[in-house]
Amino acid sequence: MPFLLRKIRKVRWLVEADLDWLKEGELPSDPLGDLSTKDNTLSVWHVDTNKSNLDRLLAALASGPDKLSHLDYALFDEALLSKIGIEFRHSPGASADAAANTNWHRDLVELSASKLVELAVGIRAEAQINRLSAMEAKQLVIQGVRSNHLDSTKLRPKLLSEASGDA
Amino acid sequence: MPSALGGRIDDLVRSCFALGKEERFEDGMESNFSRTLLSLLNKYGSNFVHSLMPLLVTKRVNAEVAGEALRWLGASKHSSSHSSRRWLLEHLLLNSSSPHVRDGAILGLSFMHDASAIPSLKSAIEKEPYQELKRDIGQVLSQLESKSQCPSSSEKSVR
Repeated sequence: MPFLLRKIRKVRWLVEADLDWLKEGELPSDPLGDLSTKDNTLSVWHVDTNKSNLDRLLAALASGPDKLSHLDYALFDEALLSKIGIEFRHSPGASADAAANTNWHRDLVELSASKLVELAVGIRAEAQINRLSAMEAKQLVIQGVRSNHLDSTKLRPKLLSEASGDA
Repeated sequence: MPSALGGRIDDLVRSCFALGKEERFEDGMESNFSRTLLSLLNKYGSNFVHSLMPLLVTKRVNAEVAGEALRWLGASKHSSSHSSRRWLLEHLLLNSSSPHVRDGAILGLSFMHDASAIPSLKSAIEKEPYQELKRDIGQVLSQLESKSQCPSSSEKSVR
């Protein structure tokens, strides 16, 4: 089964044992900050079953910000969507990787608040949540530019400068 | 630090953090908060870093904003405040009860590329209660230890 990739802030998803006001089994609200929707739609990226395109997608995500930084991400089984009853559709992405934008971007659509919470609960329970260090992210961006996967004209000046070793 | 200056900086710090509370943060993305924070650092240097300490230690600011501040403090290239920034990050990594603050300190130290932080990171990894943060500390430790063993950089660039 393929996976879905979403950039997050890992610390929001930590199991906070010291939140004594939180009832057992409940999710705190901070993780929802990583699932911000527009028009009731959430942007995610399709990762192949063998994860062969994962590094390329991470490069695309890492190349988006103002400056090179670490990248926290959640990788979850696409099957989670059918468990919750969430529909998705292909839609163009907006990264610096044109082929990734065409082939691997998805929108999760018709998201009600309760489905979003179920998605967050599912991600917390089942997703692999990882951190790419700033150095690892830099190497992926450099590789992406060299292999012409990433269009350097779409990178922000400071990030491009850091990847070039000028900063 | 003269008390008038200290008082002025304290006011500016409080305003800065109030600004941060209203913003949504994304990794690697500048914000009004990060720009204000760094401009205060550039203007007041270590005096600014010292004025942050009481706020961050006593948890008088929002934890996510505090964590964000620590990331940007670590990423700054302001040279005269390097030691005081590193000290602040190490202290909070070892002593803060907030995972947001400790995560911010871990990231801040990762951006500083300073092997002097290795002993603090080793202590922190022993006492860190969250496995996820232990892993992150370990990642920074590996990065700094390999850099200190091979000081000449073999990093490639796009050039």
